Amino acid sequence: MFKNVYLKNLRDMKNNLIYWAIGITILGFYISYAYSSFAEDIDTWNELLANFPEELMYFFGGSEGMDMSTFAGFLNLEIFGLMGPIMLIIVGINSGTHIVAGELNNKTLEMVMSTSIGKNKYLFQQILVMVTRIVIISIILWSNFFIFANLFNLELDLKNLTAIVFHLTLLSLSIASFSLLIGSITGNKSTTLGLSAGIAVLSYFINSISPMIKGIENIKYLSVFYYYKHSEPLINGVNLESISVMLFISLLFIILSFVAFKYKDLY
Amino acid sequence: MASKTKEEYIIEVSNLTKFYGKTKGIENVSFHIKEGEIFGLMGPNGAGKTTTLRSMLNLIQSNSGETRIFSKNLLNLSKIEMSNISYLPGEFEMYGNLTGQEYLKYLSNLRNAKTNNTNVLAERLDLDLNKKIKTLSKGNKQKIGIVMAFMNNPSIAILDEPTSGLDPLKQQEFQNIVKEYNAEGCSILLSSHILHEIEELCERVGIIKDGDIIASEQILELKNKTINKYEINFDKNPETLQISKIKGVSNLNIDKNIVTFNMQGNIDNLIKAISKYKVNNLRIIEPDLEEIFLTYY
Repeated sequence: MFKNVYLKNLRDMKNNLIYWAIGITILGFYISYAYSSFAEDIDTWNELLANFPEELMYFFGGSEGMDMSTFAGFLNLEIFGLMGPIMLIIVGINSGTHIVAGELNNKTLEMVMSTSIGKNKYLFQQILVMVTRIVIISIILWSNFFIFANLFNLELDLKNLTAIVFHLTLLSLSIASFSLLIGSITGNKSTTLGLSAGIAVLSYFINSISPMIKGIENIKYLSVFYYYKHSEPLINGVNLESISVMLFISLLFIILSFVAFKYKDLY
Repeated sequence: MASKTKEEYIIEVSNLTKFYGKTKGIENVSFHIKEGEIFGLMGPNGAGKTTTLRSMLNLIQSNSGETRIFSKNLLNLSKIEMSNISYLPGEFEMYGNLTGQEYLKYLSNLRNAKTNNTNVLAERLDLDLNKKIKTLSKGNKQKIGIVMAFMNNPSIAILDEPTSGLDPLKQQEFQNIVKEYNAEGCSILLSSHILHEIEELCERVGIIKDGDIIASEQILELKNKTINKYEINFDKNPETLQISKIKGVSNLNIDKNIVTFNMQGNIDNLIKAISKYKVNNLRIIEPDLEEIFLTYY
């Protein structure tokens, strides 16, 4: 496990992944169990939801797909509207920040970079670690709802579940890549964490308020949350346009990170 | 002829300059190290030693200048050549969740090293490699650094304050290790503010002050250039002796039969002058490196 940067960091994330898996499993069980227990009173819930102001519904992650009469609609509101993005954004920000800013903050990078590994190879392997971590946690999330939906006999389209988790993975990757870029430019952990979290919140805020205020609807295109959720992947499946944008953003930030890291003083 | 001499340098640093914003780190630092040599970089904290080493190894971006190692620009070195260079930073942390053995194995793998003397070196330094790094004292962490520096039989070892935190016994063992590896052909650049360590190990030394190399020469030459203190006890008062006229003499003091003075440079004229008198005792007090060092500050 100490053969290269990728394997060493994969080993390091083992415990962290176990904690995430436990947390997500408890959440998955709770959400699935809760829905199955009040599924019979679903009409009452839908009536309640219908009386909520539209603005509030936007704030909870969208307006469409909030149909509580289906498990997918319930997950859209409870998990993929806010809680899922928060979890995956935390994972993304932590992963992206660790690579340069975190290692510099811990003063561990100088020794590693004094070997013959080279900056590009180090960064490439660390980005693979970042992607692996995000993908593994996304798979844990996906498999939880797949397993619990079957366990509680809840109807859930596997293809659409895969679609929303895929969108969520790319949302996380976009934010992680942004954190990586800021870390590669500043080398400062707290700045990177703060700026990344700030941008994530701002992005969510822009996506939430843009439909409510006439004249500024188009600012939604600046929000990565828009590309994550506007097409309602849990109802409508994968949206290629949104995926392309999120992939492009991630790739752009990663390429810029290579450039920034090349000129970064490592101390 | 000049280019032939250049090729003999295993490390050649030319006009290395680094500014942190508007603050000067180092400016036009130049020196060279011959193959198999131990070169000392001496200076107090903040003089620019660490900046020099980091700039040399491209760990920080220098504003100008060049480092040539194995007669090549550092950036053009192959992976194999790079893996023959070891660097022990002055201020470093390791992954606390790993054991010393795991950490050293990791770094060894990153270097693609073929040889590994980890266990032999650890034993010499009385270091337990099976403990988690986070449980180790500062001195033991430093020992891991020293093992790291020599475990893969490097051709070049660049050591920044390597004995920081080590007890005197282990400092001695470190000096033995340095001498042994040097005898086997390892060229060493040793940055330190511990002068007796430099004096013990190095053949040549560069003195760095405020980011500039202000002297770079053999330790013996450096000592020759400095002022020695003399005390001559004559059999009787040498009234006709005109020591003050000898080149390089200063601070002359004559107290009956005992003459004390400072002198810099060749002592041939002095020997000739005093040979006409009966001398009971001659004492030459050489300055140690610390006193020489202080003359530059």
